[in-house]
Amino acid sequence: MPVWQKTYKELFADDDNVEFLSVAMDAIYHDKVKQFHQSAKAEFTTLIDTDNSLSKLMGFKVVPNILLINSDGELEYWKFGKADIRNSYYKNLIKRWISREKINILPKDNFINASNQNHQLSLGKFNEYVNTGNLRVNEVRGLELDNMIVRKQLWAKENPEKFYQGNIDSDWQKQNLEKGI
Amino acid sequence: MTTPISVNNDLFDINLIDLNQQKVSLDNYKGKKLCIFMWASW
Repeated sequence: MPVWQKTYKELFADDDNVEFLSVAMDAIYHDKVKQFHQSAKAEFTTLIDTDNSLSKLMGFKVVPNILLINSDGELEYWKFGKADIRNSYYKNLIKRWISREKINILPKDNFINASNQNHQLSLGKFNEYVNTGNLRVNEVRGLELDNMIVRKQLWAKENPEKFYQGNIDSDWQKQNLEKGI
Repeated sequence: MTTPISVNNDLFDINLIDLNQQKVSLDNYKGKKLCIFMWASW
C-alpha cells in the first residue's frame, strides 16, 4: 500500500484523464482494510469487494491483481496474481498505458474464465458462510482448493492472530497448503 | 497486440463499499481510463 501511494503521486495524482482505484477483496475484516489505507496515508480511493463480485465476474483466485480499462470500458490488460508494483515491469507498463502508447501485450498466462461452476459455487457458498455462518468450513473450502481468495479468508476468519498480529505468518500458511487445509 | 475485452456492463454494474461502508457503483468511474489494483488485508 505505501508503494502504491508513492506510485499514485507519481503517475496518477496530476492526471485528470485517468483514475486509480484500490479494491480490497475482503469479505470479513473491513476495518483492517481501513487500517491499511490509513497507515499508508493513501490519497487514492479504496473500495471493498465484500461479496467477491470481481472474482465472480473474472474468475481470478488470487491477489494482487492489476486491471487496465480504457475509456470505452474495454479491459486492455490484466494480471492476476503477483502484480507487484515494486516490479519495474508493471510500473513501466502502467506508465506507457497512461501516456497512450500501445501496451502491446496479450496476457497469456491467466485468461479470464469465470464460467467454471465450482468457482461460482465456491464463492457463493463462501458468501453464505460469511453472512450466515450456517455452513461447515470444510464444505466451503473443498469446492475449489486452489481458490486462495476463499481459502485465505477462511484461514483469517478461523485464525485472525496469524494475519493481524504483527507480520502475516507465511510458514503457517505453507503448512496449511501442504496439509490441504 | 492487446485484444481489448468488453467488460462494460458487467464490470460497471458491480457495487462495492467505501471505507465508511457506503455503497459505491463502479459505474461512477465509467468514461475514464481506469487502473484498478486489487489486494487484500489477509
